[in-house]
Amino acid sequence: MKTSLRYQLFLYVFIGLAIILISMSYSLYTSMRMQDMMDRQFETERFFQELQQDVLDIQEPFLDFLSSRSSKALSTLLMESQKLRQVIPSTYPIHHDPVELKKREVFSLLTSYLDLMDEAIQFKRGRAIEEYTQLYETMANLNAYISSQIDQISLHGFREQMSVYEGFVRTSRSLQFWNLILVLSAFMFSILLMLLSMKKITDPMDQLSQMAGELAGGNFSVEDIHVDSVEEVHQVVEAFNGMKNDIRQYIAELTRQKEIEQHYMDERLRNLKMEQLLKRMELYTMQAQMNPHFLFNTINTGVQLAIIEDADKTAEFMESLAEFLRHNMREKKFIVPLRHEVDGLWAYISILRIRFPKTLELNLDVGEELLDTCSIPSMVLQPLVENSVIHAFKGMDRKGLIDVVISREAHLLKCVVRDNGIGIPPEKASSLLRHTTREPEYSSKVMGLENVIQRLYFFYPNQEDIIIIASEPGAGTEVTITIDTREEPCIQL
Amino acid sequence: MFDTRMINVKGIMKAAALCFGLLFLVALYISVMTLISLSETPSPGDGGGVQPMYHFAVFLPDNTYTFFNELKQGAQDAGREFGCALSFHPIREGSLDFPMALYSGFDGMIVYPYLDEHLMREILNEINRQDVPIVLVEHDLQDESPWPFVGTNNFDVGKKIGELISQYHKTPVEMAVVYSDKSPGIYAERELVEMGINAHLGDRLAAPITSKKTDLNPLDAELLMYHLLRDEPNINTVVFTDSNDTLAATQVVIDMNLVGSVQIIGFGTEEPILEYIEKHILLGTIAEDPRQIGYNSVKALKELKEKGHTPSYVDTGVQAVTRRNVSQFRNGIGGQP
Repeated sequence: MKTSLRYQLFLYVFIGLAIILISMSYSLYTSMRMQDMMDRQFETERFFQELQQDVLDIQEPFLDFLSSRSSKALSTLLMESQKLRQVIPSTYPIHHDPVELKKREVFSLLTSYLDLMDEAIQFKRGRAIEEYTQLYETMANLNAYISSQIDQISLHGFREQMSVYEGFVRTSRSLQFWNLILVLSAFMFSILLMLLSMKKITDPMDQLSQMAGELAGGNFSVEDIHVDSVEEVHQVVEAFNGMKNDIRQYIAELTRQKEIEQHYMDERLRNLKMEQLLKRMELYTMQAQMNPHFLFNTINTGVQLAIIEDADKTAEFMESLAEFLRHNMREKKFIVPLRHEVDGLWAYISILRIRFPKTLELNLDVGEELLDTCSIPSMVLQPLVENSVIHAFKGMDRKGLIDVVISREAHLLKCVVRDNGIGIPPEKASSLLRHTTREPEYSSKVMGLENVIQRLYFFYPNQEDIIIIASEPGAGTEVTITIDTREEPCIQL
Repeated sequence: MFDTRMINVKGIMKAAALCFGLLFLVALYISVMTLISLSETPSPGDGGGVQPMYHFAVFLPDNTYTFFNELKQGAQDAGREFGCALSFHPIREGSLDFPMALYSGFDGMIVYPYLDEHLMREILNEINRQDVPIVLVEHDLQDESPWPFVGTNNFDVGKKIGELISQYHKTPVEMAVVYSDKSPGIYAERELVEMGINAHLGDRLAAPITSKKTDLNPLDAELLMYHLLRDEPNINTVVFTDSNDTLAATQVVIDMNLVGSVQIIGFGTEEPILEYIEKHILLGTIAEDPRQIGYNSVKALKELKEKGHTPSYVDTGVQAVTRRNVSQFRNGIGGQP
């Protein structure tokens, strides 16, 4: 449970002052106690000195009474006698200490003296002159003896006090020294206690100041401050921690919204790009379909003419061309069965074999079981072969070789178009594989390959390695399309 | 770094506060203990032993000779053992201590009868009338006395002297006995001493015993011995009745290189006297037992106080110490001369 600042300040100051006050009071008490002890040492001496004087003084009224028998002298004598009897203790215990025994003797002597005095008074009243005269003489001796015994007590007491005085002084000096240490340590302890209590309040403030500096620098990830301090400071610290955490949460929320917005913008941009691509494809299609029926009828006429003239090669070539055109015109879908794509590719290969019988060799290897079970985007294989025919063998004096291999490995359908041409420079290959849409005026003869790549990216946006170009200058190029048959293309048309 | 420094400062402050707190407690503890020790003034009656029931007064001659010191020691031992507080008072001519003893409230008195016997008996009788028990020590009053006596029979002292002389001195003996005010008990009963000597030596004494006396001057015996050696050459044996006189006289014999020319019998058992015996300078010494006298006197007085009676005579014995038994005596075994 936290205590309030006011209460804690009051408590520490009170404790500190109380400790100092108690230590000083104790020091004062010890001084007074030492004075009392010194007084007690001399108290006995004073008592016996007064007793000695009283004993000596009583002789005078006693003699007055014996010599005058006056009632005034008797009154004085009786008063003095009573006074002396009052100072005599009723019992005085026996001790081994010689001085105590001497005191006991003195009290006995005094009692005897006063008894003798009463006896002498009776003798005086009875006019027994001889008896009280003799008694007076005895009492005078007794009086002197008592006085001498008191002197001995005083002398003995003085000697005893002298012997203990040195020890007393030494002990009292030691006591004063330790009292000084006591007061000093109490003072230092109290000061430190108060400083610690103040530090308990100021330390959290320093930590708050430090945290404020961090927050001002934009660092909201600093740890919460945990302090063991007074209630007020604790509340301030808690409020500060709360404020910091609220700001951090607010900033996190803003960041999250900004990310969502960015994602939305990216999505929108992608859609725009897709629309643009579709428009371009549409344009290509329109260009490709430019008066196709006229061209197709003309080619058929050419086939019939070649048959009539027995030009078999020409008829075959024209027929392949017609097949190729038919395939291109007939295919309106984006995703087609592999058989359709392979049929179109065969027509194109037949044309090329006729065109380049000596300089180009074309091979197509595809499993029959794949043709009707797999689908791929339309018009992707032929452009790749066309790209190799156009670009791979420029300036090359050896025979060109193009292999198309279509296979399936688990759920992956692999279409590989490999040539032994001059290869594609790495930077060119990287440029081709970039996710972008080139401006129409940038189109070149490699536009077909680029078209294929961008369409594949479009249809399979989640497959980063949908198409790979492996090429070495002078050693040929291998373009591999890998389609995950489990994943549906984003457009099914 | 800032935090670390802050923690260090706080730790140092806490450690310092703890140190000062401990110092405060230590100082307080020592101060209180010192104050208590200062307050504990020796309480009266811390004499040890049993809490005293009686206050007995011991009246002895006012001197500090070994005999009386040992007697006091023996009395104090008995006082502690039997629960009796003892106060020691001088007994001498002109002192009021003994005459005023009647008024001092003593429960009993041990008295060395040293004053004039008439005065002594008068005071003792007065005390006796007050039913205060009295025990006499060392020597008795000459006439019949009703008070118990604790001490040495001086006739036995004389006999021991005679025995010692007869054992070591074969020639006819011409002897001097030196009494002293320092041993008033023996001086007071000198006739008994000489009777004891005569009883043992008989015809071997070539001449009557010569009596000499020293006073309280500790060097008095030197002068006396010097005169004896010079003026009375016929004396072949000198007997001392006080230890101080023995030592002083022996030193004169040594200084005059006359060791062996005269046989000296000492008194007391101080270490130098025993050494003189071992060196054959002294023929022997007479050893009373003052401790036993003191002890038995307190014992008898307490018995008298409580039961009303006690043996009228307690002999504490006397012993002759010679070169034959000095080592045994020194070891506390005793032995025959």
